[in-house]
Amino acid sequence: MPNVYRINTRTKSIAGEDLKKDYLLFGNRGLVAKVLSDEVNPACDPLGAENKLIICTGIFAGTPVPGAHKFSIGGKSPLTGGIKESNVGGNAGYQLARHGIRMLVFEDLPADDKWYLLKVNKDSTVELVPADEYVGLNTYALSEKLYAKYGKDIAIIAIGTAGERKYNIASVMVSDQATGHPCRAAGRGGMGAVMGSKHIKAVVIEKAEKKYEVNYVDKEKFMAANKKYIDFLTHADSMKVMTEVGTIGAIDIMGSMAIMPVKNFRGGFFDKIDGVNTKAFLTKLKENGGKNGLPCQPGCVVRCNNIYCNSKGEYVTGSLEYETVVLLGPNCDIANLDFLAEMDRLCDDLGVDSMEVGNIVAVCMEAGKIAWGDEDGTRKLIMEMVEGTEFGRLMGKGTAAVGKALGVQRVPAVKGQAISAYDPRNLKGMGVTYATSPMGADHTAGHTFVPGVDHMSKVGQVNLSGQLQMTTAMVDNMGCMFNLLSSVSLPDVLPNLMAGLYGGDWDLKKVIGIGVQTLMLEKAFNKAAGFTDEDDRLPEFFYKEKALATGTVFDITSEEIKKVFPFPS
Amino acid sequence: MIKVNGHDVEWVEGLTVAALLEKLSKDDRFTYAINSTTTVMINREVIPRNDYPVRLLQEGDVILLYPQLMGG
Repeated sequence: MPNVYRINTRTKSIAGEDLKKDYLLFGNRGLVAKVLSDEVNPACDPLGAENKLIICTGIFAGTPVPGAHKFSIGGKSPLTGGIKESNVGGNAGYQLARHGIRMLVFEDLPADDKWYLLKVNKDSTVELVPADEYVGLNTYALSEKLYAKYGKDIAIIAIGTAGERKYNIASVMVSDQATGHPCRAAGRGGMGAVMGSKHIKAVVIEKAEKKYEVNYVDKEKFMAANKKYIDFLTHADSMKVMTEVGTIGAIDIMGSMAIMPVKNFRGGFFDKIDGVNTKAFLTKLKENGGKNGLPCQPGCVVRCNNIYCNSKGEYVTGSLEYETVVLLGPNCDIANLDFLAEMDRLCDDLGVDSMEVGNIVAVCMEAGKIAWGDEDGTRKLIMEMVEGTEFGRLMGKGTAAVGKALGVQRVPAVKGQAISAYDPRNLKGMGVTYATSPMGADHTAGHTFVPGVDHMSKVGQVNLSGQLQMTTAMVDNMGCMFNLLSSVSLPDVLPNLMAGLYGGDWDLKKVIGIGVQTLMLEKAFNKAAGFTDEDDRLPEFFYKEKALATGTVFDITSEEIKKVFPFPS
Repeated sequence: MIKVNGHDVEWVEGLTVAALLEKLSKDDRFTYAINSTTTVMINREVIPRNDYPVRLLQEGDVILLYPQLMGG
C-alpha cells in the first residue's frame, strides 16, 4: 500500500505514492518543511491554489515509543505569511500509523462550492466523501454525527465554522483518546483556514482491519532503547507534575516568578492566583468529577491530559491547558476556572486557537472595548466569532489585526502570531525563541525554562534558545515534546532508537542534525516569503516598559539575536 | 521572615537552603516546586546544588524555587 496520498481538491483525484527516499528520516515538522520547500511557492497566497495542506506522522509513528503519535498539520500560514507546522495529540496519528500512512497532502482549490471529507477506510483505501451535510457545524456536533454514521472507533481530524470562514486563527481539531471529543488542537497559525480553503471539513479514519507492521532494522536494539526510555519517563521528577496535575501545574511557578502574563503582559504578579492555581484546579476536578492523568493518545506514559466537568458533573472540556487558562485568565484579569473551561470549550468547538483568542480579548480590554476581568464581555466577544459578526470576523484575523484596528500600541505578537503565556522580560530565553522561531511567537519551538538559569538575566539566553530550538525541531520530527524532549538527557536513547529503526550509526549530534536541517529549510522558506532579520524582533513595549514585578525589560539586542543559530538565516 | 515564591516563610538563625527545602517539601504551597530538578535562587543568585547544605539564608532574603517544567 502507498504511504503517501495526494488529494487534488479541484479534480477530486487521489494518488498514492511512497515517501521519497530523502524524506525517510524526517517526520512531522521536518516532513512539512521538506514538502513546502520542494513543492510550494513561498510567495503564494496561503489560501490559494498553490498552497498545500500537509497532514503527516512522526519518525516513530507505528512504534511503541511514548508520544510517537503526536502528528503535524502544516502549510503556509495565513496568520504569519510564513511556514507553519502545528502539532497535535489525540488518537488520529495512531490510527493513521495503523494504516501505514505517513502523509496526506491536500492540493489545489475546489472549482465549486462542494465540501468533502477524506475517509480512510478499514481496508486502508482512501476516498473523498461528499460532506455538504456537515457544513455549518462546529466540531462537537460534527463529531457526534460522524460517530453516529461511521462508528465510535473512528478518529477524526476536523474544522469548525472558523475554518469554513477561513479565520486566520482557525485551528484543526482532533479527537481525544480519553473521550473521543474534538478537544485536541493543532491550534497555531491558521491551518484550519487552509483546510477550509480546500473545502475539506474532516478526515475520518476508520480503525485498520490489518495493522501495518513497522519494519525495524534491529528490533531488539529499538525495544531495549525504548524500555530504557519508558523507565526514565515513569520515574523522572520532571514528569511528576505533568502526570499529577498536567500543564496547569506550571501556573504556581510561572506566577511566582512573574513569567505568567497578567493584564496583557504587564509583567506583574496576579493577585487572584489562588483562583486558577494547581490547588484550585485539582479541587475543581475532585469536586466535580473531572479527571487528570489521562493519555491523549495511545501509549503515552506522561498522561498530562484531563477532563474538566461543571458543578453538575457534566463534561465541559478536555485538555484544559496552562496556555489557555493563563491567556484567557490572568492575562485578562480573570480567575474563574469554570468560566475558563467554558471558554476553552467554545474555542475548541468553533475551532480557533485559544492562545490567540486570549490575547485578542486582552487587547480588546487594553483598548477599553470591555473592562478588565469582564467575563460576560469576554463570552460575548467570543460569541461574535461564533456568530460571524463583523467584529467577530476581525477577531478571526488575529491579535495583530485586532490591535491595529483598535489602535492599541501594546500588541503581543511576533510575525503576526500572538505570544504564548510567558512574559519575555522575565523569561528572556523565551523572548529569543519568540523573536527567532520561523513559526512566529511559539513557546513550543524552544522552551527555555530550564533549571540553573537566572531567567531575568540576558546572559547566555541567545545560546540557550538556539540550542533548544535545534533540539526541539529534532523532537518535533518524532512526536510529543513533553515525552521526547526529556529523552535527550539519556544520550544513547534516541541514537539507538534511530539505529534500531533505520540502521546506520547514530549519535545524539547526528539526531539533532535532523532538527538543524528542519530549521534551515524553514528559515529559507520564510526568507523567500519575504521575511528579514527585522522580523526577528519582539513588540516594542517589551524593550521599553519595565515589568511591574521585577523592573526588567527585554534587553537582548537585534545584533545579539542574530547569533542564535550556527547557520546563516 | 523570608519570601519564597512570593509567600512569607519563617526564618531562623542558621537556616540553610537544604533545611529550607526539607521543611517546604511538606508544605502544600510548594509541593510541585520541590523535586530533584529544583533550582534555588537567592536574591537573583543561582545557588549551586552542592552548596545547599552549607548556604545560610539571611532574614529578608527573596528566594525563588523552580523545577523543570513546561506549559502546553
